[in-house]
Amino acid sequence: MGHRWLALFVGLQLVAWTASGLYMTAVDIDVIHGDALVRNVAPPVRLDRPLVPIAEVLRGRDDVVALHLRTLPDDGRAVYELVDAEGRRSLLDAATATVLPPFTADRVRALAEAYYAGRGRVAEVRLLASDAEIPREVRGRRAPLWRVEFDDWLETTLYVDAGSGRLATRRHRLWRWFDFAWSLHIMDYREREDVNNGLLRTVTPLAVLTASCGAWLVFYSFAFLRRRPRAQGVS
Amino acid sequence: MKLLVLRKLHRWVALVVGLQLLAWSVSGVVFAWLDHHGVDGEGLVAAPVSRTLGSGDVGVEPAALGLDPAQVGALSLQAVNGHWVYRIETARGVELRRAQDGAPYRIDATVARELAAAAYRGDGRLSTMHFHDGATVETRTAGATWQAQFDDATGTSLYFSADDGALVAVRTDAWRLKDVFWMLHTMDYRGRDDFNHPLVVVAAVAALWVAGTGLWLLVRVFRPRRDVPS
Repeated sequence: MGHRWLALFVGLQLVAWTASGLYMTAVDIDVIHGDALVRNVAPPVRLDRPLVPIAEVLRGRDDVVALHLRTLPDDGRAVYELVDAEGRRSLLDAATATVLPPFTADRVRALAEAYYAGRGRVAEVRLLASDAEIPREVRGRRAPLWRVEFDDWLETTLYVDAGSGRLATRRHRLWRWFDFAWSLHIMDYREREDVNNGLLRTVTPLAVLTASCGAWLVFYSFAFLRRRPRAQGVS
Repeated sequence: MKLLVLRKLHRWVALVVGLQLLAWSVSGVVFAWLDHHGVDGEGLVAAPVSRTLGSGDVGVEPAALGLDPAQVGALSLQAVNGHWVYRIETARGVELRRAQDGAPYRIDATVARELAAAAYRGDGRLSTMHFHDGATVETRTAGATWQAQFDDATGTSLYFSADDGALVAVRTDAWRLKDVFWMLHTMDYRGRDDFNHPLVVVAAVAALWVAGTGLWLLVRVFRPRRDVPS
């Protein structure tokens, strides 16, 4: 009977664990990460065109801790991406050394369309200007960040870094479900990242107890039936 | 009668996946109770000091590195071990070239040792350096690495990419313990990280069956009207 009472108590959570576990194992993680929804957009670096020397770009500046030479995916322009100590990024036209103005919503739309490999169309482009506006599905990211929603059935959302124009990350329906399944799995329903929370620490030992009692019962009953096969039709 | 059949099926499936159900719940306890700060080796590694790049640090421009223009996937200028280097990605892999003169900058044992000394913030001392020319169970897909082993109480290993010197893994005894249970949890007994293989999916279906029927039987048994002998 102990098995039953315990199982009733943790039974619902056992169903939640196994159901969320089944979802996370059954849907390939590459699908969850939306690999097929974006092109692998890293246009080759154009070294065959005249570029302003980096030594010249850096002259008079004391805030650059790293520099990337890139090709923008929508217009093919070569740019220097400068990174400062806070991780902020800004772009310079590598052919003229002029600072590129901040991306407009229309430009972000063009970039997102270059990154996007699905069949939908852009539904909304929105600038997340402050960290307070960062949605929970991309918690930990820093503003400013552009959020570009597509109208496909997966509700694909691309996040574009405002400073660099890079594809920061993406989300879609199956990924959001995975996130939800994960929250059920680790029993952290809000932040969805603390595997050491008190609830999980309490319920997991009960699961061990339930599984142990269940395993003991199963082995016991099968052994019992083997010894006295016609004793009773009860399990 | 239907409940009796259900109960039998519950037992038979449980007989088959019983050990795995135990493995899942025991590893779940381990994940919940092992402090994740210790597992991640938090506090053992210093944030890299960012140095400011100056005009005089760049002696050679990218175009003068003698690279095949069609081959370069990415090119960055960054500090590695206090030196400014170009990090160049091509189809053949990653290479570092010194920004001052364009000469190759290799992550050899001496450089790896310096990287380890600069990154480590624990209270132990560097005991050994190992070179791994491919993936290991502790570095997964990180490629060739240098392993810096420290003699502290947590058994800290820092792994640096042999390609570009990046710190790719911080491993402690807590992580190693967690990783064994992670292997039991994912049922990927080789790579440990693949949780999309058929064995684990089939086991998950069986587990959902056992948990679902178990709960259903339970709810029925607790009802006043009992049609199941117990």
